Amino acid sequence: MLVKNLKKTILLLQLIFLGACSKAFVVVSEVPRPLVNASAISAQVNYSENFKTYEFIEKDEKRALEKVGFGAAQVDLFDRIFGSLFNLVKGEDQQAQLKIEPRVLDFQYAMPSETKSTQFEIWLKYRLIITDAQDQEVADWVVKGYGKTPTTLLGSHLKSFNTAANIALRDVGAQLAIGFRNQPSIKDYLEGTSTAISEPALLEGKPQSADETNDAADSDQGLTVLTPDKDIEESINEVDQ
Amino acid sequence: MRVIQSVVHLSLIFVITACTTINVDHIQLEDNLDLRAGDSIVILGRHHSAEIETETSLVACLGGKLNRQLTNIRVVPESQFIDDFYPWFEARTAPQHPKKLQKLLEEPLLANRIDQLGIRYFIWVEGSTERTGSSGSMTCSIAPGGGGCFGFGTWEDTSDYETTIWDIETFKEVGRISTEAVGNSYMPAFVIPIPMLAQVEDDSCAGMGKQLVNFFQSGEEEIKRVQ
Repeated sequence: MLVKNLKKTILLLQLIFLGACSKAFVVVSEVPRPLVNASAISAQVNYSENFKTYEFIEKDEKRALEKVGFGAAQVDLFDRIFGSLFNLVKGEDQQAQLKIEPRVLDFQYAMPSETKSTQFEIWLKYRLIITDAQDQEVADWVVKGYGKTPTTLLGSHLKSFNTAANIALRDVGAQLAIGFRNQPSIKDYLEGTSTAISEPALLEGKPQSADETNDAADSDQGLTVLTPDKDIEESINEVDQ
Repeated sequence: MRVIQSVVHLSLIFVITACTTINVDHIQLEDNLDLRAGDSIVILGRHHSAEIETETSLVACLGGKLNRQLTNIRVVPESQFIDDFYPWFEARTAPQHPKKLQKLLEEPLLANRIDQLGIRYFIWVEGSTERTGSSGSMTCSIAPGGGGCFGFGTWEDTSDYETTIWDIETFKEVGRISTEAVGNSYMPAFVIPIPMLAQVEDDSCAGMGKQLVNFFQSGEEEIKRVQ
C-alpha cells in the first residue's frame, strides 16, 4: 500500500514538474466561423509544407518557451475564414478562380516576466499572395495580428498563452474576413469575375443563383479597407474613423 | 494551534475592513426607457488599443448583477455575443459610435441575428483597474527548522470606467455612467503574511451594477404593469 501511494506521489510530482518546466507548446485554434456572406467564386488556399508544420524555434535559451507549434492553428484559421468567404476547393487537380498562398513573415511573443507587465503578448505577420486561375498575380497583401491576455493568479500560464495566440489569430481572421474582398485589386478582380461567372461554363460543378452572383459585388460592408503594411494602431484608427 | 486560529481570524477581519473609495456619476439622456418583455441587452468591454483592456471579469460581474436583479430582461454573455458576431465586434472592428453600429446593422445577416437574440440595448464598458502605487518590502525564507515572512507591503489600485448605453432602435446613446475607485491594500508579515486586500474591481462592479439596475428598472416596471 505504501509503495503504491509512493508511486502515485512520484507520478504526480513528475507531472507537476513536467508541466512547470514545459518549454514546448502547441497552440490550439479556437477561432469561430465568421458571420459573412459567402461568395460563389471558387478559391483554393495553397499551404506550403513549412506553413502547415510551422514551429517557432526560440534561439535564446533564457526565454520561457523553446518551441511554439503554430502550423495546425493557422491552417485551421485560414480554412475557416476563406471557407466562409468563398467556395473553397481542395486538391491539386481542382481548378479555382482564385488561389491564395499564405506565408508566415514573423511570429513574436513576450512573457509577463520579460515586459514587467501582467500581459502575455503575441504578434503575427503573414504575407498572402493571391493569383488568378492563370497564376497571374492579383494581390500581395501583408496582414498583422496582435493578441494579449492578462496573467491569472492561479491559472495556467500556457492556457493564457494559448488565449493570447487565439486573440492574435482572431485579429488576423477579422482583417481577412472584412478586408480581403475590399482590397482594391482583389475587389476589381472579384467584380470582374462575378460578372463573368453568370456564364455557366466558367464555374464547374455548382449551380448559380442570381443572389450568389451578386454576393461578391454586395460584399462591401462600408468599412475602411485595410491596406498592406499598415501598423496595427493605424488600422485601429482607420476602422474607428 | 490557538495562535494560528487567532492569526487567521485577525486576517479575515482585516480583509473585510480593507476599504475602497468609490465615486459613481450617472447621466440619463432619455426620460423613459422603452423595454418589452423578452428584450435582451449585451454588455461588452472595450479592447481597441494596447492601453485599453477592459477586464472580462468585470464585464461578467456586471452581467451577473443585471441577470439576477432584472427578471424580464436577458443579458447575453459577452463571449457568446462576440463569437456569434465574429468578426464584427473584435478589438479592431467594434463600432465606436451608435451611427457606426447602425451602418453595420444595415447588413441583413447581422440584423437578423440581432433580432434572433432580441437585443435592444448595447452597454459598452471602457477602462480598467490598475496598480498606481506600491511601497514597502517583505522577505520570506525557508530553513530546515521552519520558515516565515517578515516585512510590510502596501499598494494602491485605481479603477476608472466609463459605461455607455446605446439604444439600437433609435441608434442613440441613452445613458452614461462614470465610475472611479481607489483602494489601498496592506500586507504586514510576521511569520505569516496577513493580506488586507481592497477589492477595487469588485467594488467598481457593485457601484456600476447598481446604477445600471436603476437605469433599467423603470423599463422593467413598465413591463410588469403591462403584464
